[in-house]
Amino acid sequence: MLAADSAASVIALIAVFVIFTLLNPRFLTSLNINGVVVSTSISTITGLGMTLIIAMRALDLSVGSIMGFSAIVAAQLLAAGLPLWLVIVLGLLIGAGLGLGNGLLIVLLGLPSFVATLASLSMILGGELLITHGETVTIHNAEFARLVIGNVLGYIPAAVLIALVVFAIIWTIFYRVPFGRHVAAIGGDIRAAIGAGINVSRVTLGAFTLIGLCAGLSGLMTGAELQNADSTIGAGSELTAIAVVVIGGTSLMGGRGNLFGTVCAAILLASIKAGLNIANVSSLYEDLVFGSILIIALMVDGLRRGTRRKGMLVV
Amino acid sequence: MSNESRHEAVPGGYALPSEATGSVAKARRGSVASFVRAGIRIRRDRSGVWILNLAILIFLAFAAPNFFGLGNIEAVLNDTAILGIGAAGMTILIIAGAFDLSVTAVMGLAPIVGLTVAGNDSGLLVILISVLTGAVLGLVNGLIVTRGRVAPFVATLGTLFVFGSIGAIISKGNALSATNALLLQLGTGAVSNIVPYSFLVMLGACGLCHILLRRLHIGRWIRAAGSNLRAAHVSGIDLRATYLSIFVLSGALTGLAGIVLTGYLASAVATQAPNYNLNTIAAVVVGGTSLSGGEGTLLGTVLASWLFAVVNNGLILLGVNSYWQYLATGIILVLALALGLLGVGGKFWPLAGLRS
Repeated sequence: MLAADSAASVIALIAVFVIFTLLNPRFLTSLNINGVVVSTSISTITGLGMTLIIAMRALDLSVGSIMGFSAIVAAQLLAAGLPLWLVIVLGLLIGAGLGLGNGLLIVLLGLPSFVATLASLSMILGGELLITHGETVTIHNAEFARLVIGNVLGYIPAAVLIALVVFAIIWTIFYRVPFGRHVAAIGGDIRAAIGAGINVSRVTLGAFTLIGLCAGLSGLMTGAELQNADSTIGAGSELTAIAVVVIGGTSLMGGRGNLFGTVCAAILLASIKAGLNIANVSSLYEDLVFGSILIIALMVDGLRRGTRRKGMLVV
Repeated sequence: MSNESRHEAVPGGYALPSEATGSVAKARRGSVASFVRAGIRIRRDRSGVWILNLAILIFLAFAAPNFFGLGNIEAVLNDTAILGIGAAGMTILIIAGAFDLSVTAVMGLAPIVGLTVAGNDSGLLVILISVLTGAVLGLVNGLIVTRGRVAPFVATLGTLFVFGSIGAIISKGNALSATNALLLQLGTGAVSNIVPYSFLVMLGACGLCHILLRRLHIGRWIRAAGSNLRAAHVSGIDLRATYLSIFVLSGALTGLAGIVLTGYLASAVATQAPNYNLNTIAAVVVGGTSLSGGEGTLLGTVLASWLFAVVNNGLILLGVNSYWQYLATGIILVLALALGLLGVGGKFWPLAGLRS
């Protein structure tokens, strides 16, 4: 599980913890603030789904829109008076359904995943705006919020527990079930995968349904935390998710996925934000640090690999 | 890459892209007539954008005849220009098999630097600095890709965050107002109230890119690199120089698009062009340029930019809620590609689906 690929993100994570704790001893306690924990859990969950998709050498740009859509639908259903458990089930089903729609666009029309999910990003966002008329839908449900920001057994944050369950499920799917091996096989060499008798379209549909489910869950968690839902929920989170996956050591070339690295990268990202925050650095600098880390991590990785593949560019 | 390997002969049997080898014969018959014929010939992968353009124009002729009013045409051409200038650079990049996700941030950062450095006194200086800033940012992208050996997709994803953050830091998250007459003219002025200056700028940018791609040596290198990187490397093409120059070109064009948008909005904000990266990629793809690289045209990109502008404008004229335009963008993307893919026989379909 702890492959060499994730070594970089683990080292970076430890380095960040040590540096920020030395700079300000309050750093470790600041991580325990609910907002940090919940946002880390949410980016972990979308990142885990994205790891699977990137291992298949595909991309899903519609993650952010699906998050927003499921949050908005859940908010409206709650307002209509449906019971909470039904709303959660429906929200997850909507996420999975939209993911399945992405898969169908790819499989039936033969579109590249990048273009298909770019189209659905736009369409789902349009749907959100048409449902809400660009307004914010408020959620008044303390129980819903407690499921995300509350604690289990007194001190374990519920959001962390949800993320752990998702990690366990996706870990099992990826490393212990034939489906996971098929995903990696398609990403590694699609012709070989077809030759080996893998049903490429069924695996594609499955993987995109799974990431849709993850995105739906993230959307519900965001809605529950904020106690409202509008079309800005999840905006841009597809690119953040891709960045998290790549920092975690999964190559965009497909064939391999590094779930543990993704989790480390998501925690790394959140702890940098929290660290900058208690160091009183303006939030305008967060993206600067985040982007620099992404570039430096990949350059180090590229130069390390460059000694083996002289003269070639990675394009 | 050493100098010797650059001049190495192509080993026998190594398949080069047909265009790279056949371009000598092509360049010889360079009469104007053949140039026009070759440019306007409707290709299958671009059929989608032609069909949709035609269908929508016919539909609008019946449903909203005021679409063809001169003032409205000017507005549509203006929208086309802002998307098209950036999409021209993106076309070259995608043909070379690269990507630039940082254009969104460059669109904001370049005019912010221009206005911060030059103020509102000299419009020409602001435009120049903005284009130059774009070129420098493109150079940064290019260096990370060629020297840092990072894939363009993730390299420019990183610089998207970095450039965006720098733009917000310089402008302190506020909007800088643009009051210079030349800037405002560039964004909103028009020749005899029909053809906006920005549209002429776009035609110039696309013409430049077209010549670069079809008439200069670097164009062959770009297409060769996009269709088969290894073959291009083996045949002695200096890939680093090629990628570096197209990233600089694309950055400069994005800086230009940014300052045109600033002229149009009369202000510069770090987030003035949200989703510009995905929109330009959509325009390039709808225009028939393959995301797998090696093949594509500027004409297709211009047509696609026009198509997006017409649809958004048409929706407004029809009095439809503006939220529908997101839905329309997605539907156009799917339709244009599906129409372009029609008639592709014998190809195993999931193969086409997974190669992003």
